[in-house]
Amino acid sequence: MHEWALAESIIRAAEEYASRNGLQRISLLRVYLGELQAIDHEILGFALDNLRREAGVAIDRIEIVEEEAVFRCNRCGYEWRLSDTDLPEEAREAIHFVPEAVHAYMACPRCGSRDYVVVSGRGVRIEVDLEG
Amino acid sequence: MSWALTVIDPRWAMARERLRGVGRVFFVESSKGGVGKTVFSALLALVLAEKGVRVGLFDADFTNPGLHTVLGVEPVLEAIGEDKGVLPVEAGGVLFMSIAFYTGGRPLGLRGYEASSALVELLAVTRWGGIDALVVDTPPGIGDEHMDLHWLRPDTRVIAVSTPSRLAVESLIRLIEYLGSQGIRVAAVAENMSDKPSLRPLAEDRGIEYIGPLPYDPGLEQALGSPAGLRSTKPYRVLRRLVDRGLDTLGWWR
Ligand SMILES: Nc1ncnc2c1ncn2[C@@H]1O[C@H](COP(=O)(O)OP(=O)(O)OP(=O)(O)O)[C@@H](O)[C@H]1O
Ligand SMILES: [Mg+2]
Ligand SMILES: [Zn+2]
Repeated sequence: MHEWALAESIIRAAEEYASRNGLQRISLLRVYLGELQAIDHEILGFALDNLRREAGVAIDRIEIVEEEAVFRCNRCGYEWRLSDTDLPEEAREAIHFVPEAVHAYMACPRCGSRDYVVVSGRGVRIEVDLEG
Repeated sequence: MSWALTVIDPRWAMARERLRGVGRVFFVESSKGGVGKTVFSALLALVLAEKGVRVGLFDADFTNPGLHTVLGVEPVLEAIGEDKGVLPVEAGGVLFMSIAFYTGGRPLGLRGYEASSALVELLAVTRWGGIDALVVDTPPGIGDEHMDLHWLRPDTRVIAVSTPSRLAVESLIRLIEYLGSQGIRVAAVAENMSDKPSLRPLAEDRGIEYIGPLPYDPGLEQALGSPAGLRSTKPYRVLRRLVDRGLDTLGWWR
């Protein structure tokens, strides 16, 4: 599963951050999941729970937050949500692996431009809190 | 003391780690377009595979991928296996990964930061599985992808491809100078579509290994799409002979 690779990258990033800053523990690791990448919340949570045990830094708590995918057209300024569109299954699957592939499958609903920004909800990013 | 929340993009750490797992990384670059980077990358990977080197081939030209056409691999998502990440596709003994699997060969226009993001995403999830060498085909120019790749794996060996045309040579010199100014040494210059070693002095004066000349082969067009066909082209045979004799750039493989 691709979710395992992402979970691994989240743990690696936390470890790297901790070692760079000389930290033994992270009180809260918040993981944002962008709707566009459609990461399976449960599988990712399970994978993270498994991997954190062998992590090189103690992570007290992991919190997963889902983010809605929003786009803004660079040409006409129109803003829309992923939920306003109707992407075929094949496209969804490709985008799951590489969110930028969305530009190959979706255009601005107003002007047809393929030059748009993913304003939020692209993929995975994490926030580290040391106090909690 | 109150710590601000720190936001991290976790993919970079993973991409770096996955690239660390690869013995050697070769970037095939040129500022000039159309000099044969894509063909050269494929030929080099095929030569190494024939030598028994476990080799991967990565298409970093996100808006204009071409390696799947050279290797004859159908750019469909079904070709990609999954096991705690995505698995490259085997062709001619080479493990291959490209954005084309995800776009299905559709046109893809990306801003520079998006190309960068797609690149790091794919490198973070692709499991090469303990290969000895990874050959990376890059787009023409000096852009986001090149910079990212150099920072992700600073000990990468750059092979600059050029034809003997003055237009290509000027941009070759610019590339060597630019990379040099960034502390990145060009390991080799490969002269493609040429019968004479006209770039040898240019390379050797700068302490760069010369690979070539790789001849223009009118039969190459026919061979596109077939690893076996490519292995019988003139540039392939010349490159294999050079590898047999030993190229410093490649290390001990011969
Ligand atoms: N040695 C050769 N003999 C015959 N044809 C060649 C040879 N090398 C490259 N070609 C042909 O030249 C054209 C350009 O090659 P290629 O696509 O590999 O260049 P490139 O540098 O990757 O281009 P780009 O800058 O667009 O990525 C192709 O049609 C290719 O088949
Ligand atoms: Mg090319
Ligand atoms: Zn628009």
